[in-house]
Amino acid sequence: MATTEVRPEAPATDAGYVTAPYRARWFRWFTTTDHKEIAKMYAVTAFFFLLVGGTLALLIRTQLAAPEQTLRLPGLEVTEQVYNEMFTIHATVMVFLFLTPMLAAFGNYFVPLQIGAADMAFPRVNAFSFWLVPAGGIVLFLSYFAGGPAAAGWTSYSPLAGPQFSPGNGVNLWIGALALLGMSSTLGAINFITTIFKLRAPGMTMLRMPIFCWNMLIQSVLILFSFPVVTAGLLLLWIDRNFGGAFFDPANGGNVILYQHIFWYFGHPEVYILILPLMGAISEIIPVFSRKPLFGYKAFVYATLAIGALGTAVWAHHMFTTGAIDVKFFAATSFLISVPTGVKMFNWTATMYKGKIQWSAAMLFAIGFLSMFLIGGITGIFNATGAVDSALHDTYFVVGHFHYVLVSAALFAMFAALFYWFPKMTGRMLNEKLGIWQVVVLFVGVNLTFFPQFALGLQGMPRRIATYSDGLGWGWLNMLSTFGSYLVSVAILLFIINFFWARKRGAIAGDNPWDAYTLEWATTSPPPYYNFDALPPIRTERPVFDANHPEIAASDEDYDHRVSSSTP
Amino acid sequence: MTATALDREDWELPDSFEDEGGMSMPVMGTVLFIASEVMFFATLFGTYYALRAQASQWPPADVEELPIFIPIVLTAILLTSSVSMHGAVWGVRNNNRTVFVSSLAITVVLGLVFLVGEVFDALEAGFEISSGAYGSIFFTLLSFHVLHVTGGVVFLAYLLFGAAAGRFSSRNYQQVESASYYWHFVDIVWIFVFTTLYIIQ
Repeated sequence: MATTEVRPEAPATDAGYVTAPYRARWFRWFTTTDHKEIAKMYAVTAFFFLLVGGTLALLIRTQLAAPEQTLRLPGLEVTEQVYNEMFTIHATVMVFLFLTPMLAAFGNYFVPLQIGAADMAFPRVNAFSFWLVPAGGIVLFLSYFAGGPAAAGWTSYSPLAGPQFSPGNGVNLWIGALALLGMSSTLGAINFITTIFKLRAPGMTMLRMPIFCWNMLIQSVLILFSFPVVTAGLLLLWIDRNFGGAFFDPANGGNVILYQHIFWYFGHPEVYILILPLMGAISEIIPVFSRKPLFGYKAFVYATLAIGALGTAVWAHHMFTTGAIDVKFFAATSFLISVPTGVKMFNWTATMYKGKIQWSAAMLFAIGFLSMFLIGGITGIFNATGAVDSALHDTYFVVGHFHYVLVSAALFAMFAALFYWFPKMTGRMLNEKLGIWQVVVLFVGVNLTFFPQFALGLQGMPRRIATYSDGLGWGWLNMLSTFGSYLVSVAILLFIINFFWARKRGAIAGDNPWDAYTLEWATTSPPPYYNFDALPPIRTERPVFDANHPEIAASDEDYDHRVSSSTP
Repeated sequence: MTATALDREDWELPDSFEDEGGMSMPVMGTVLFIASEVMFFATLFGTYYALRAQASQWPPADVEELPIFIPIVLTAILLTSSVSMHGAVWGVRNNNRTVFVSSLAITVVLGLVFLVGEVFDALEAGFEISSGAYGSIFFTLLSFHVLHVTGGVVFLAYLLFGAAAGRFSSRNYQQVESASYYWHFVDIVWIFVFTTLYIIQ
């Protein structure tokens, strides 16, 4: 174990404060390299795109609410082409412009704070990564003014997205947007990995690092190894479309299955990229509100590593019905990945067991995450079973499954993290009562939206259809689902109200309102420009808890013994 | 839930945040960037071999065998430039300005010669990017390598100006070291491109 050199005689000093260079306020947002400001810009951008993608989702759900209808609004008639465009842009926005930047926001704000650093390793690269996100968004939405956006689904399978079936600029601009957003994520990943390896405060060994940072680290490694792959694959598609390439054109020696392999080699790790940081945030929240350390810290770290490693070997379970892959192998790896995921579930529930649970909104959101993630995970096992999947493939069962993980679970975890960290980011508390109302509305909303989709999928409703005939009897379940989606938007609206209310009227948070454990709570709320004027000695993974409660803090010897010589 | 007033007596602000062991931050960033580039080129090479494996005849019947003499010369030039790049790092590390600046200049010149040769040789090929899967992957691999070498030459030329102005020394050469890692990387990629496109055609 690395030793912490503590100098008790060193006086507390405020000489550590370095003030930000003075700039006019509007100009500062364009030039800042401070990780906290960049994180806030990430968060606001991501939330904006959540509203854009959410509006598209509401339009899609409204179109599907009743059989054999064509939604007509002023200036918008949902034809089949428009419907295809809507679900393509909805998915692209939600994956690349909402969830990915939102996680980058949490990572940017809290990784440097949790490891006791002053900023990210490469602050200017960090700013560049951020500005690529709005750039990508603009390129994507430019396609609305350049002959209509992409309509080939977020997977853009060739030949559907090839020159023959998707003429026009839509897919070209979509590829350009994804290349920019991929570059943003890749540079961000390089930044996170370097920050975590090089800028940890003295005493912060890897196994004393907060679980959130571990998850960001492994997420970054996954990004580093998967985003360049899809960038290359999309450039091949771009060459096919614009320079007469034949990569995915079987008539000229190309191979369409190859595109699916390249896409899913990225696409499946991408779902772990989207969920790992949220699991990390949950692993910060549940221990704090259970008043216990995380149960099985080391097991959790190993489980995260195992998910990262196995996550790169499951991609072809998206391709079971192509008949071009070894179903048994990919079914087996997909089952295997549920083991480390189950370990994490066990960590979280065992942390709560016999804990002194405080029912704050953040904790309720976190428990909501556990239940939603459980449903999403178990239905994933159905899909991973080759024989079952050949019946469920491309039905609403799959839609329900991934929305349970990437909407229900992800929204609960995101709001848990926002309720937990908002006081640190702004200095004020969100309204707890309104938060608990939001938990209830969101819980009812997401389950009403996505549970009927399992039933619809089992009845054979295919995904990506603009409407369906009356005689199939899918009407009432779709109506239920649409009603649920409106409730979800009410829940999001409640958060927006809460946000603006708390900015002005929220209770003053103080440094550490939750009596939390990790280093971000050792500085003021919001933290000063260079984060810390002093750091507590770091002897465990809970340095702030040890400083607050010296009477029950683990001593160096206890902790070294616990971490290094016993299995968790 | 209220936090008690903290006893901050034994708190301190470390003098230096950066971990002093191992590689420096810029070099680590470069290595991670190269790792992502490895995945990028791995996808292109994977595509090449996947397409080749399913083809009944590779290269297609209407494609003549590519002459190999110029690519061999180009390989020799690029390998030499890796050696001179290493010389530049040795020079700056040992504060030997003459070796540093001249090796860097040689590297830039060799890089430019290589670029010109690579582009003109590719233009000599009797097929196009649109003439089937073989042409597509041939020109895609070459173009992305050309783009990467171009980026490297621009970066090295920028460093050369800095070197001529005396900006680097044995205590400040992280950019040079990073550039050298990148340059060796494009060199290794070329060896794969050369082997794949010319030797085992």
